[in-house]
Amino acid sequence: MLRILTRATGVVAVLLALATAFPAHVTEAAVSVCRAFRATSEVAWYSSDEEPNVDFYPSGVAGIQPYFEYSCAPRNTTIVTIFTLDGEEVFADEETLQPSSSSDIYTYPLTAKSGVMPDGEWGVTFLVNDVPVVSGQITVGGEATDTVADVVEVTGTVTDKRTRKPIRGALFVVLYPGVTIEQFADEDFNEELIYTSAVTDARGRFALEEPLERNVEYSVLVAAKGYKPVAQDGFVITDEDEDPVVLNVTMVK
Amino acid sequence: MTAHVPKAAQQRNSVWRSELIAVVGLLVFVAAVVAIDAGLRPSLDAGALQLVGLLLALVPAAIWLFVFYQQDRLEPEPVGNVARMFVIGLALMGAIGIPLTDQVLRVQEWLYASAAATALGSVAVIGAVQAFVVYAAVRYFIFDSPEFDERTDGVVYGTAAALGAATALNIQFILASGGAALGPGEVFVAEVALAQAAFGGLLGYFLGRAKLDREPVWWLPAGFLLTALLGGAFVLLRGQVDAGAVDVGAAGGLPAFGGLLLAGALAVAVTGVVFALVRRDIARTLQGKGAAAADAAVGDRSANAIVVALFAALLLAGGLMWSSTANATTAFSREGFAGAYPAAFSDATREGEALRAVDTLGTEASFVVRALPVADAKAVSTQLAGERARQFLGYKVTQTDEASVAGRPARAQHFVYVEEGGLLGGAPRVVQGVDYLIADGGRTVVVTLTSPADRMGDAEPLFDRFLASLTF
Repeated sequence: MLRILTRATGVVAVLLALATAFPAHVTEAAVSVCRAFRATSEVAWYSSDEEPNVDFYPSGVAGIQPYFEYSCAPRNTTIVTIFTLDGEEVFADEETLQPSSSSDIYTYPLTAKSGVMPDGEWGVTFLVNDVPVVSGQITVGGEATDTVADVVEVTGTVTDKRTRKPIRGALFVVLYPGVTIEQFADEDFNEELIYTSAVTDARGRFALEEPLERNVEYSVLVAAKGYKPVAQDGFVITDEDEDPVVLNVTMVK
Repeated sequence: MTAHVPKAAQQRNSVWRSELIAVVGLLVFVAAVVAIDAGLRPSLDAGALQLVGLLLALVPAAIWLFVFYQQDRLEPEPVGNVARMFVIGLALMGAIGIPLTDQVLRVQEWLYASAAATALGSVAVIGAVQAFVVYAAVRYFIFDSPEFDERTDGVVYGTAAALGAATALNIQFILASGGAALGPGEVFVAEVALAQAAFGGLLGYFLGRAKLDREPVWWLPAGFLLTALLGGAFVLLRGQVDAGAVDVGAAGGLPAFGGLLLAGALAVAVTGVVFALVRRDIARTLQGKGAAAADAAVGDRSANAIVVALFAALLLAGGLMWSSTANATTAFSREGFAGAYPAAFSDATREGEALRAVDTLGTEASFVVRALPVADAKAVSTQLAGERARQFLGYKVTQTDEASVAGRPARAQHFVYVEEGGLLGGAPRVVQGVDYLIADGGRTVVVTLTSPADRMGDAEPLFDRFLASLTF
């Protein structure tokens, strides 16, 4: 079975080895194979003792610290971190990442000048080159919080737009947040950039293997033999959409 | 005493009126079909859907012919000639045009491979074939007729031939789809008819002037090229305004009208432009400025030869694009192996492999090259069987042959297994493959093709070319 999500490529391994041995100029060459930022986890939160994955912060905590994992940071990757408190934007900052082809964690500690973070529902959104890639929420002063991302199952049908007949064997691809269709094409449709995908059955139906997160922008691509591919950046499932989400995909020849 | 007006200089406003009425009439008819489809949601079985679809495919031409003969009563064009053009256009498109684009040049398989392929395929193949069908119908079957004696005749005959071609395209659309939903199906049928009629009228104008005005040798080729370009541009534009989409929510609703509105606007605009040009030409003739010669000898053989050569050149360009798209490769050289895999494949090499090329968006086939530090082919066979038995269901070697890879003897092991869900989710599916085992000193080189069983026919020729390119 092909396991696109978990495997490491020999090319990357070789380049990483080269980058370690020749850190200065070879690193630039190494990251050239890694052209799209890829978040590989949802947002989680460190405790004040830097314990990962806390469910909530107690009242009186001095700071909060969200983090997420990523596997690739090409050159000129800029991350904007936006914090909200009870839905209102309260803080934002921008940072340019060092180029890297290796997996790493991005974290942004936020501390209160007063020494005490206000109680309430805190949210964070990370934008990479102006595209939201991951977001999360946590409660300060609460007993329990919803740190698990709000995800939905996705099913749907792919049909011919002009005949409304189902299209068998159509491939529905969802890329990792932050990866655009253009980047996917630039990397020769590298399957490592695919977050999840599905193929339609004889009745044009499909069900994605992985759930999608609400309010996160994905790029989706649908391809079927003899049809014009459908490519869409900025595909979002909103809070109003039901779970499971049913998609209606139409294609033309 | 009345002034004598040569036939070539006669205004026939009824022709233009009928063109516009036909456009409006067709749009009204489409709106009615869409309303019936959306309101009543008729439930038709496959046979009935096909039958209704075929009848609806004839409607645009029927409306045009009906309106034309209602309006053109003063000096009607012989019904036989117009009908003949329609039938010839239909026959040429059905017998030559469609097979040329679909079976010979297989344009649908490579049209969306790249922006260049889309542009070239739209203009040099689709646009050119459609233009040439109209050209051939008028130029070879009515051009020399004494009935072709007015400037508007070219427009009338060109439109009739184009509507015949459109009807052939629409019949093929219905038959190939096994029927179509009434609303969106009729919208598409009308789109094709309106666009074809517009292009046919335009090319007819060029043909009319070529016959009556002794135009220079570039005139007809220019008309043909312009029509092909417009036809291709329409395909491109329609792809923009009437593209596929990913929507949240169940299927249904009204069909998209973007393409139909584009075609309608195009038909009205082209009709208007041709109308203005013909009026200008007539005015020039009446002022004695033109070179009107209704009885001029026809037979600008040079112009005709250039049109045919131009058509052949466009098809050749399309064929070259097809060839370069289908045969484009990416070279690789690593770990002592070198070769070229199809450019549409992506490099997904894993640790321990020299190459893994995957056709992610196409056949889903994989080409894998690796070297195992085992010299004995049987031991390698056992190792592969063990790997696949752990990963898949029902792995079985179905056939073993002797073969040759990179000039060396090889053992070809054909196998099959069931992938449980697999990379792309969904139901379990049957995967076919073949391992080529080549002894190479103290190791065995394994070159593997795997593909979903139903795509093996598409993947095998690509793999054969890859295998032929492989050296180590």
